[in-house]
Amino acid sequence: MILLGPILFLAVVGGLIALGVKAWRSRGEPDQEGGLDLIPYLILALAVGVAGFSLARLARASLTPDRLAGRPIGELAGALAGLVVAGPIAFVLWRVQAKKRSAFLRNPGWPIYLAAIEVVFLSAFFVSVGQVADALTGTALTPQWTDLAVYGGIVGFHWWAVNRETPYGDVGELPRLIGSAVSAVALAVGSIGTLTWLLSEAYESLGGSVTVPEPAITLALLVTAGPVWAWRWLPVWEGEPGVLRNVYLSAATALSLLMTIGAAVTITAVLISFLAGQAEPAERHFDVYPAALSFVIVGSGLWIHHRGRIGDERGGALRGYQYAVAATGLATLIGFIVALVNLVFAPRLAGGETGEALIFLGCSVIASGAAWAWFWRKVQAAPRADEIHSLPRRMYLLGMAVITGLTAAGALIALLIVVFRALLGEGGDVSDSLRIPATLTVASGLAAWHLFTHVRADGAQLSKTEVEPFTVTVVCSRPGPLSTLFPKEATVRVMYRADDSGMIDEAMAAAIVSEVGGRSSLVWVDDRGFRVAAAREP
Amino acid sequence: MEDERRIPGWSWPLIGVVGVVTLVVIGLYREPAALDPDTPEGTVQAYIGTLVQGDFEAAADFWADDGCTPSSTIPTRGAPDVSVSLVSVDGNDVQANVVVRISENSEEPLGGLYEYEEWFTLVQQDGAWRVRQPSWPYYDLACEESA
Repeated sequence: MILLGPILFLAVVGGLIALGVKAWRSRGEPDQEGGLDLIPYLILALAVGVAGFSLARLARASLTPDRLAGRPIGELAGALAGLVVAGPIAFVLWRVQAKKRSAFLRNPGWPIYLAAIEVVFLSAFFVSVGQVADALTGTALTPQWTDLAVYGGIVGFHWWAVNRETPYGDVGELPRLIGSAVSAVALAVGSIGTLTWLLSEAYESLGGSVTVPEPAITLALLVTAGPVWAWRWLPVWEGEPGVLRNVYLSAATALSLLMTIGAAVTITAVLISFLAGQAEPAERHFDVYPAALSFVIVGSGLWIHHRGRIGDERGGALRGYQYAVAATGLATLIGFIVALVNLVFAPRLAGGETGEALIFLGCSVIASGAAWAWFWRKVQAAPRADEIHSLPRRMYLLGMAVITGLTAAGALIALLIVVFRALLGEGGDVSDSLRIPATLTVASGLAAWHLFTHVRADGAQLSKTEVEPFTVTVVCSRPGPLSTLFPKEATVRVMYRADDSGMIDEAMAAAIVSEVGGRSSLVWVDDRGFRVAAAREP
Repeated sequence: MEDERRIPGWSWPLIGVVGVVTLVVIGLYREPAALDPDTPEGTVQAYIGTLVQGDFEAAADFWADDGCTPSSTIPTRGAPDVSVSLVSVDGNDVQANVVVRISENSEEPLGGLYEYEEWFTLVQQDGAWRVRQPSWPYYDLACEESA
């Protein structure tokens, strides 16, 4: 412990000196390759993070009028220490990287750094919006407005920097996508909370008994996140969607649909249990409706918007969305079946109001099964030749097959332990211990068998397909792993671009192989993604 | 580009240093809030003030008669070396809850800063607010029912 202080001090000072020397030596001499530039941006992100939170702490300790006693020596010392270490590092690295960016515009470090800042500080900004709203309307007396100013300032500064130096390529969309995601979550929370408040007031005015939530935080989130989301997401995106935008669209559409289905199941189960007489008095029984209806309204709104953005063309986004919902449907189907069987056969000594739970689990099993069946049929109806090459299908089939297979194996082990203990003479009724492992073994095993059947069928179809030799001409700046992903029948020719645009990463390479689909093609890669055109057979 | 020419590069760190120094000076020299001593939060401020100054007899005068009170007026670790900020006040004319955030320096140089929230329950007694069942900073002391 005695040595810890000097060692830490020497490490920090040594690191600063090394960084300064490196920055001094490399001034005006950007390296010839540019590289991915991830490490400097990672250090920059850490330094900006430490400096930003230290500044917020310093401003809070110095400016918020809530001090009752004592001087904030500890807070000031901690914040100063963070600023003294992180501030100069952030400043020096920012300038060094700015010079580097002017030489290598398409390095992915810059957009990845911006995305990290956006996820941390935009989230912190929305949290402080909620805290200030709570303080202004609730029992807290002093709003921490300094947090709002510091986090908002950091986010605003980086938006200004993006405006000056827009990142390029597929990965260049990452900051906007992250900003869209963070603000969409805040907007959804704000909308759901505000609607719940309004519907709770309406429910109460109709004679219902419900706890009406305080609307301040959610209203504040709605008011601030709405414009941010509109600004980050709604403006026209350049070019065709790349891998990242497809992933975002798939996830947003699938999550909003799942949110809607979950809330609709709750509404249906509550109604059925009321009709079946498994209920409290009506005025209390439906008290979950304001919140559930809010989820349905907001979830369906988000789903309609994002589903419209995907369109009907069978691309990566549509596939990702459909396989994501199918996977979630299958996983939840297994879970709800196990819970339902467990509840149905659980021994009850006396009483036990399980009616409502049974109805809820029954509705959940039906909804999960319907969601999985609906989307599985949709993906199976798609043209197989293209479908079996697609990355979402492979991830769904192989990923879910492995997960369900391992789950079934684990459950079988648990089942056999109970059986062997009974066989080896441990007395007592073991049926209670068998229920969950037995159901899980059967449900997961059936799912794994189904999935592996389709994995085999896809494999057989792939091997049956006689792939004629074909030639792919790729115009890009770096082919990355592309040539290793094409089948052996492919002849890949690469024409290098003179500029730095058109770098192919692993995800893009997989997408290109899928899109080419064994046909002679010309692939053009630039900073907006890739395009594939059919070429004459060799 | 014009902006860059107008504002030299070294001015940004200078502005940053000046801003930070200003904040530190404000934080060091700003007096605690002047709260009305007849309010729950003002009572808590006065109570904590007496504890910080080491006037434990005066602090004990803030204790309510009913409920459990510490067996000694001297806190577990003597006068607390803390800074305290107000989080929230809730209650009515008879009883109130005051929540404060307490920052306490570790005695170790690299031990960091302990920050925690404390709740004070206050009751109206003889026309003034009194702290009921004080626990902070009397952690380890047995308490005695006085009513």
